[in-house]
Amino acid sequence: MRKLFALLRSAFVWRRGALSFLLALSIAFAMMRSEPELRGNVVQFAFSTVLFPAQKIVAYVRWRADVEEENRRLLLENAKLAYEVSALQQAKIENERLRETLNFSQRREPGFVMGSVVARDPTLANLALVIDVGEEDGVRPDMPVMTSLGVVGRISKAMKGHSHVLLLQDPASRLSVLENRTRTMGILETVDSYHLYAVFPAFSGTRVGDTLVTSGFGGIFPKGIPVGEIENFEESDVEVLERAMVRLFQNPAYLEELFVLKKEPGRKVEEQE
Amino acid sequence: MKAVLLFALALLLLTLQTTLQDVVSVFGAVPDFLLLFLVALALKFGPVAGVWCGLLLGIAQDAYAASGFGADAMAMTVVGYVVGFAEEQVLKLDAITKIVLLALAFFGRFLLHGLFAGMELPQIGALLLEGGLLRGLLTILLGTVWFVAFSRDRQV
Repeated sequence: MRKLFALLRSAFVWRRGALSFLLALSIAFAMMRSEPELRGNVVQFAFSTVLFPAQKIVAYVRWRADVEEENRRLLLENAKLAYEVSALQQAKIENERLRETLNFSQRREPGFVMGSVVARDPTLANLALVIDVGEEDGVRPDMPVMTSLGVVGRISKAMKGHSHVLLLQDPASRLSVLENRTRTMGILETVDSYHLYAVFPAFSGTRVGDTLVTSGFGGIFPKGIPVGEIENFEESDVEVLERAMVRLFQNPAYLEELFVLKKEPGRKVEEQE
Repeated sequence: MKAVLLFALALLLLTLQTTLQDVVSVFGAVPDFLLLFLVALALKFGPVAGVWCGLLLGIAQDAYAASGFGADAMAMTVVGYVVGFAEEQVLKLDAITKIVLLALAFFGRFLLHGLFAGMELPQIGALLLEGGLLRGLLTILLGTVWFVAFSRDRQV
């Protein structure tokens, strides 16, 4: 056993580590070419599970430090919300009565689960988060993730006690959006992870300052969740389209608590007529 | 024992890099603690340690990345090897050389990561201007403090 260890050791340091280098490069290359199942189920699971307890402790310590100030702010907000709730209850009763009159089916009330950010993608791009709620809390892949300000992304991987969130900034994310004023539908996307733009049909009438909400198309995000605001327009490569640069309502750099919208995979939550 | 301590330090830095980004950020940029650790380790222990440490740290970072899986493992492996090899073969161990090496390691890793992740050069350039430069400067600044503080005995 000792001889084997010595043999391995000498092989690893052979020619100033050239063999080690080639072996490590091969492993990295194999990872790049690996199936998505291996990535998700083995590597991501192993690393995020090993580090999760430490990340949870750090997040908890930070949370404790912030909680007093947060409590004061919430008490104030609570007072404001209590006033708003009473007004909304009246509106709800009125809304239900009008729905009945128009024969609309009842809206399904989706459940929420709240989670805290415990880790972020450490690379510069910052495209993913880890939150402290997982399958045990009913979180499943593709569930929408949001804050009180707007959409954040969706669950890309749910594990036992924690989940990975794929942010809207990832080039793999595409979101169907609706412009609130003109009701024009578009696609929100990015190619460089920094600039998000929505593609609308040309001459749609959208302008700087218009707000975007989710359209409900695609089956992941329900209709009407705030997304962002049009900052300016850029020339599109395609003449019949226009590109609007979008500033998200929820800045992904300042995420602490998130809400996961619990819904069955592949089923739309939005109102059905 | 030393290996265990280094492993624990790597885990601690990874935790720091993934959890306290907003606390340690300066103008929105966070120093790359893991790259600094890798360069310091490769300079101290040579290319073999640099290669394996680079691979492990790269995989750990890839575990969080949503896309370009394996790109960071590849880039960090190359950086670990090249820095360790350069220290062993070519360069003197003074603090200034180490800082230059750290700067080269940062930008080399940035370029390699982008290329392995399938990005084009203009995209990598834009990403560098958007936040990479500041991150690089912070990392080099932190490395300067580290190398100056810990290399005095070697220069004497």
